[in-house]
Amino acid sequence: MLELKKYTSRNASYRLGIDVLSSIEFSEDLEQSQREKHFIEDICKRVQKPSTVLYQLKNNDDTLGLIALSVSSIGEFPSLQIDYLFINCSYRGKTLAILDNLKTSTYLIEFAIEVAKEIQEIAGLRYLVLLPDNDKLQNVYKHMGFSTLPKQNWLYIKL
Amino acid sequence: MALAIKDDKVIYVAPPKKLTAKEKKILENTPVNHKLIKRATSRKYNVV
Repeated sequence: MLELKKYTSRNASYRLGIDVLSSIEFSEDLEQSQREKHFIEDICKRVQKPSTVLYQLKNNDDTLGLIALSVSSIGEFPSLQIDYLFINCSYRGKTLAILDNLKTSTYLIEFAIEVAKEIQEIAGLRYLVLLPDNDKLQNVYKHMGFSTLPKQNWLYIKL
Repeated sequence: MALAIKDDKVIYVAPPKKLTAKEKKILENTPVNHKLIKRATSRKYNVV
């Protein structure tokens, strides 16, 4: 069964990092896998504070990916920020029937839009923003519908 | 993605707090992608 397990400061235990790290497959490239582990450990620590929420996308016992969100602002505009997006190595680039024939990354981005629209109704969010890890990802996100702010590396979707 | 590694430590990168008038105008004039938002918000997500 497909589910998005939500972790906040209210339900995240000190073991969250251990549990999450043990459930996912990292990149085969050693350097990249170390980056991913460092980022996920950091996100799991951030979830202990109220500002960050982590969602773990699971299909039965398989973890497909993770997305961490926090409320922020770009300039004076309240925004929902994608702090981190991780796709389990074995699901990268694959469209899945269980995700409405979307890739896991697209499904999680669209879920972030849904969260942002819910918060928008009570807090007036204006944008969903993210900072791509590299230029290649920047093009992937643009293809998903993000716009670029000139001279800034940040990408955004207007809500 | 708002994390980066600097000096072997994970750092948090926040969006710019000060925007130029031109940047603000670009942000405000960006059209809303209604098709994308409708697709994203019409799906039922099983959050537990």
